Amino acid sequence: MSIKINHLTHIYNEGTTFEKLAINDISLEIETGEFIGLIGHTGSGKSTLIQHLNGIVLPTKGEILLDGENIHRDKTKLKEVRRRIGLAFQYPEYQLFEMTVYKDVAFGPTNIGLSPEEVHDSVVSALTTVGISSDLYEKSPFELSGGQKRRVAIAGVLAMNPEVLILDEPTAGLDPKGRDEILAAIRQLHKERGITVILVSHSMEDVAKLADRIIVMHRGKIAMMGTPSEVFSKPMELETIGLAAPQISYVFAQLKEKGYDVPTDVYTVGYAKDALLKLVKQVRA
Amino acid sequence: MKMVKAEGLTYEYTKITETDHGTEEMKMTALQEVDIAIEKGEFIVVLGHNGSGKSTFAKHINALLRPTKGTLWVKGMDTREEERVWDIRQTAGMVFQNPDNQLVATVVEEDIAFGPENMGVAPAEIRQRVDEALATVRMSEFATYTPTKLSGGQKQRIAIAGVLAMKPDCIIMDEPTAMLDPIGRREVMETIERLNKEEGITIILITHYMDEAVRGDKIYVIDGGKLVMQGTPKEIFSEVEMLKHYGLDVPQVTEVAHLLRQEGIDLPKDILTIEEMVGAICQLKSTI
Amino acid sequence: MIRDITIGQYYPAESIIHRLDARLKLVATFVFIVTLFMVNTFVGYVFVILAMAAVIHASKVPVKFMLRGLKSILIIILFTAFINLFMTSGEHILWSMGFLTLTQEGLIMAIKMCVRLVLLIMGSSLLTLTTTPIQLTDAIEYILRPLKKIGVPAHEIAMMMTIALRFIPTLLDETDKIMKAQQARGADFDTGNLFQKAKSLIPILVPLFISAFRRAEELAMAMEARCYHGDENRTRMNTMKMAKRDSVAGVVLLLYIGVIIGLRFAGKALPFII
Repeated sequence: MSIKINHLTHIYNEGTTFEKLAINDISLEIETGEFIGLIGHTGSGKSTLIQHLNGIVLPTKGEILLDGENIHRDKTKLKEVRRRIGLAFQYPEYQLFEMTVYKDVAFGPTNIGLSPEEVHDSVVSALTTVGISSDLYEKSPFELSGGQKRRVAIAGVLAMNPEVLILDEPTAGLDPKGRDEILAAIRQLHKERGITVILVSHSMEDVAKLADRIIVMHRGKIAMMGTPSEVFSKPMELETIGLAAPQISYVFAQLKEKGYDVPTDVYTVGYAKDALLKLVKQVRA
Repeated sequence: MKMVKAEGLTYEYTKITETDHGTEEMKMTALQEVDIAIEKGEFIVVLGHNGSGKSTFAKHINALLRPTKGTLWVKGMDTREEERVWDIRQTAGMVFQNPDNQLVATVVEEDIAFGPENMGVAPAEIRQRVDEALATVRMSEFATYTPTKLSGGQKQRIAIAGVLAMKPDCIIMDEPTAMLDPIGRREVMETIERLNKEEGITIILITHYMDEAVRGDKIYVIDGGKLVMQGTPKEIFSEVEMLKHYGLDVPQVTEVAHLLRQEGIDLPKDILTIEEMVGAICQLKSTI
Repeated sequence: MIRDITIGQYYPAESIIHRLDARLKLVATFVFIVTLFMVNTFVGYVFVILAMAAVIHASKVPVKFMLRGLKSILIIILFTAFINLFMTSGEHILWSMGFLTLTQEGLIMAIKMCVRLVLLIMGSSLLTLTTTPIQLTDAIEYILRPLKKIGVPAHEIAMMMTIALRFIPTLLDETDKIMKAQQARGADFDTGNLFQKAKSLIPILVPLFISAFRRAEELAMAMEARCYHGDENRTRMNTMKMAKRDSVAGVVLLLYIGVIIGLRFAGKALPFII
């Protein structure tokens, strides 16, 4: 499913003294199956942007087209839009409310009117994808560890079988192990179900590992957009808007400056190792 | 006298779980036989994954928890002595993870005054301490703001100022940057380093971020309630495999250097920063 | 939106009213409310309205801002007017249709009650508009202090109010977030009958309560870490001191009470000036 954003503008509290321009005339297209990394610091407009995509926030100006159709044209279809575009908010575990893990995950699919059998299948499939085993189904979600709670909450969105999954800071506040588990689940999901993923994150390292395309937002506008190599080869540009490239990118930028023949689009550990091995061999030869 | 000293520090608690057969009681050990000695003015980092016991350790230093076995002294004061508890909390202040849930008042300066007010400091002196603390965290112009109007990093600096106004010798920070964005993290880390270098305050920082950990004088790694590693950042991070075993990260440059060493390239074991990595590679060229 | 309500909001400005001692303002507001129900003559109302206008003028709070606060309780005012208009029995029937009867007495009563209500709201919002929540809670703590001997926890009440004020915006934000999150999971808060609507609140209320308790627990620990142990040996950074302007304001308040009492007796003696 393709998403097209046309000249989207959003102003909070328009006409009051608290007026704030959150999104300033953004146009953007997202293709089926893409893995997008959306970065920007707090207040850059990224959270507002993603809330527009499933119709929770109304545009002040502009439109959002889903397969060519404006999502706000037919109000009765808004529920369908929210099913197709799943949105997991920041700290999603704070939305858990049911007595058991199973029931909580079933909340979404039940709301959209699936039959009990379909609900069951969706719940089991979603929980399996995020790595929650069946012995936890009947437990209270509040008894789980922080990382498990987070995964259950994400499963709650996943169980609605969305075609696009948007995750707002899914790893915030987790320890490295919890973070790796979530990221592995997201990667798996993208691979297996082939769904479009939009990952919002502060962590350049996380985004670098997963995304095909990176969108950098700053003050309500798109500041940079491209493949991770393209974006992270300009660490200085990222710095000026309060962000940073992965640590290893800086090593290559500095080596290049010193006159070494190295690529400047390095952003992962694996690529860095290969590039440096090549450099060492060159020097030795 | 050591700032913080733990000998055989053990903390056990009973976990009650509801099962089909009624309630079940389980004895849990959050900390086991921990021995630690922290000098005045040191910048200590404590690492460990969630549930490793590092937060439990932090709460002991502030006498929010008391050892079930062993002893913990803060500047020579035994935390089990009830009557010393306010002295201990004044000596070793604490900053928590969630900036929203530790600010009490609706005005920044009133919040900073909260600690000294509880200690019974005279009004004129409280005023002076509040102004000084605000200046130290570089938030003077926000004195009359309401905390809800501030960013996460700013709120956390106010929380730090609130502790500073109590004139502590030591500040324990329990994942103070976990909920912040990169700008907020930078602000808070700069503040912490300044407190340590300029004010000579002993810092005990609990974190998951390795780029923060490398800035400490000494690192303790806690796993399963036990102290499993201790040393300088260079010593700790040269053990890449060990750290991964304990569910921890290493800085990207350290990991790349580690991988290159496995390929037979002669790089030092203790590379932590971008500059060290670049330097080591340049060195490599000149030695060939 | 919930956040548009201006009652309870503070309006920062440099004015004599802002600088007055919060305890005095609290007492004055209380006195003002009592006098509203003592007034029973037309002249009396004019006097109270003029007094109110003078204080508003001195406070530098824009009248527009005050009126906007009234908008949110317009329904209550209209309802009061309606009840009084048609439920007051009287002899002079002005208009009648079906079971609705409008009497002269009803009309006068409705106007009186609405004016009282509007003045009451404006008077109390003027207190919160010109006094920071902190000053207000301090004043309440001070005024309740004599009651401590009979077991009224004055300090605890003030502390609870402070914390409530501090956390209301945080919890409003949180409610907003949880609502959006459940909407994203297909929750529907707008359609269905009353029962269904009440049921649809569960996915909001449960997480909200859990979150509030978690916050309370963390805050309690943070307060303890900052040596909080009730009001024993506790000092305050800002001590409340009566200044000369407060004595002047006190005298003005006494004069005001005098006039109100005077008018009440005059009203009895000269009933024709209703």
